[in-house]
Amino acid sequence: MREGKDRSVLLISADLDVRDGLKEIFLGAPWLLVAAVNPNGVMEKVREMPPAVILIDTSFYEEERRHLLAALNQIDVLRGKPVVFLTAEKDRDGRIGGWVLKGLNGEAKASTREAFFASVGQMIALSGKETAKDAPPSQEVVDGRLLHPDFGKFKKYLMERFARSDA
Amino acid sequence: MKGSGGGYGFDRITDIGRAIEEAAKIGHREEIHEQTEALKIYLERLEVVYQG
Repeated sequence: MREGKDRSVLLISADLDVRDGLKEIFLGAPWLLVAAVNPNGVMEKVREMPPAVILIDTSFYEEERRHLLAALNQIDVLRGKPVVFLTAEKDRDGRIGGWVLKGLNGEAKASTREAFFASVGQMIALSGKETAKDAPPSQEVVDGRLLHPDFGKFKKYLMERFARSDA
Repeated sequence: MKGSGGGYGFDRITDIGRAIEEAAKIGHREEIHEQTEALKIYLERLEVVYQG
């Protein structure tokens, strides 16, 4: 796995349960999980093995999230990497029963390890496709650091609604 | 849409939503159609980047 490029996933979460939960899920996974509270502690690791995607826990406050994304953006190997916002669904006892993943291409819920990897893999694939395609000259560019985590869902909703209005 | 666009970080959607609302108030169908087209184009060409 080490020789592959972009074969890691960077997780930024201040929640120990989330970090531990994902470490367990990623055991034997196609990607190596690099988990941290903030990107400073994992600079060396991500330079050695750039991540395919960055997972950011939505439990961060909006202001914290912006600082975090700005900090990630200062790291050359992370600049422009797809970001997926991650929410752990916990029961009354604090046990994690599932995950919600929100990216540019929509939202996915996963309650099993397989579903989690299917969602992450799909988001990585779609993100790669997005950047690889020829951009039209008047591409509208917005700064992801300023967006709400649900922006992908909102965009999808508008696109579906206005596509239907064509019919 | 006018209110939600800004909340999600899409100021352009707020602008388009506002224009549609104003056009609807005076029954300007053509303007509504144009703004709706502008929204579709914006959404299709939207690219989110994580860099300054």
